[in-house]
Amino acid sequence: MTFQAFSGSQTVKNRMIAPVRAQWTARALAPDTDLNWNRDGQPDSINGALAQTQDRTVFEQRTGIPADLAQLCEHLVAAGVRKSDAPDTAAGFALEGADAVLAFGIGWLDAIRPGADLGMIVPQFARHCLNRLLEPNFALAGHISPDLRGAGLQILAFWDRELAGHTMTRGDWRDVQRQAMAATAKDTDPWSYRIATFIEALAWPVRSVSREFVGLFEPFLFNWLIYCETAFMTDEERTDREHLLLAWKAMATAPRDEGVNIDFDPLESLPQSARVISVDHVMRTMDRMIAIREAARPRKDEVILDLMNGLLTLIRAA
Amino acid sequence: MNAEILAVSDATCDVEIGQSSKPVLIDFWAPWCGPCMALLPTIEGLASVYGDDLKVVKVNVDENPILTDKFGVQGIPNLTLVKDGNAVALRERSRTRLVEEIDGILG
Repeated sequence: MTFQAFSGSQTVKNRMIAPVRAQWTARALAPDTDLNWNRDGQPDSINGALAQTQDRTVFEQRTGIPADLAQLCEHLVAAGVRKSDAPDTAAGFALEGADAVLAFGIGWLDAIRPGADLGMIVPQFARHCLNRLLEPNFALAGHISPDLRGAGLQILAFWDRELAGHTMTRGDWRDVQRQAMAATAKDTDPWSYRIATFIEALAWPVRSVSREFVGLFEPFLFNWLIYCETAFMTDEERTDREHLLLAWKAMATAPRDEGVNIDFDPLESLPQSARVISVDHVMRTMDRMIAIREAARPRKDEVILDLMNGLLTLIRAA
Repeated sequence: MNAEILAVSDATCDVEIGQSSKPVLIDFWAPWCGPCMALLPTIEGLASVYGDDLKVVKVNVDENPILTDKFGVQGIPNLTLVKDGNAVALRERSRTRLVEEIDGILG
């Protein structure tokens, strides 16, 4: 499928972006991965307001922009801002975030050349992300096992061959998928679970990953951002954070009846994880966790801005 | 790479599922179910992977209580694979793991 941003017209681009810019500047839009437009009880999102729709197909018809890309860009904004209730404001909520993060809300739209085909931006960004997480200086590099890294490098090599015009066979992909699943199964590092599931889920031809990418990227980015907080924690808090990650993993991987209900307590054999996920612990440590989140904010902004700049580079080049 | 997923109803299930010559993957969903919407890209990805070897359909549980009841669906999202008249509820949720699970059933 080919796209033509803003029907190739600077006039159309200006006409579509101007009202959204005004609303965004007034902080009357709430960034969200979903296309929110005229939903009951929910503020409009940037992309919902841009195309005045909740429907992905209509969004693409009206803007000429892949919905996957729009959702990815808005997810990055959402990840970098804090939204709080503000009943005495016209919007009913307040947004807070670094200026550069907030600027990306419209900045990525401004960067689009009318007529550009942005259909390959998300696959290219997926490659950018995978390459980034496999770099030795990646924040979580020490938590990626050699087996998992090997699977990631194999996926990256396949993607590069695909992007160069070669076709990998189903058998090639099955091998790397099994390699990634085996690496995930062997992994016990609390921080690596979401990296492992991300890599495992990316083990497909890069063009076919586009539609699923935002959903796969969200937990990976969340994991990366909460890792930034550990620099501001005591040793005890860091250990508790690892127990929390193990609790989430145990609940995510527990066998389910018809894939829905868990008929046993997955934390029964993880008393420390059960402790840190208890309401008592969460309430007792809440103020401290809020302080840590705030202290880590500049580091998280750095991560988000780096990803935003990567996207802007790809968009400008299209 | 997006594949169109056929919507099946109580009225059309006999033809689309019961008389299908191919195995059928049924996605039981509802528009208000966030996890169901999040799973949709994966279902579309699966349809692309299997092409003509697997029929992928979706059933809105709010509009099709007979079909939902017939397959004993207790919660959504629910993915059920029907092969040779036998229905198996799938447990995995990522495309990579679902393909492993489906291949294991299809043989």
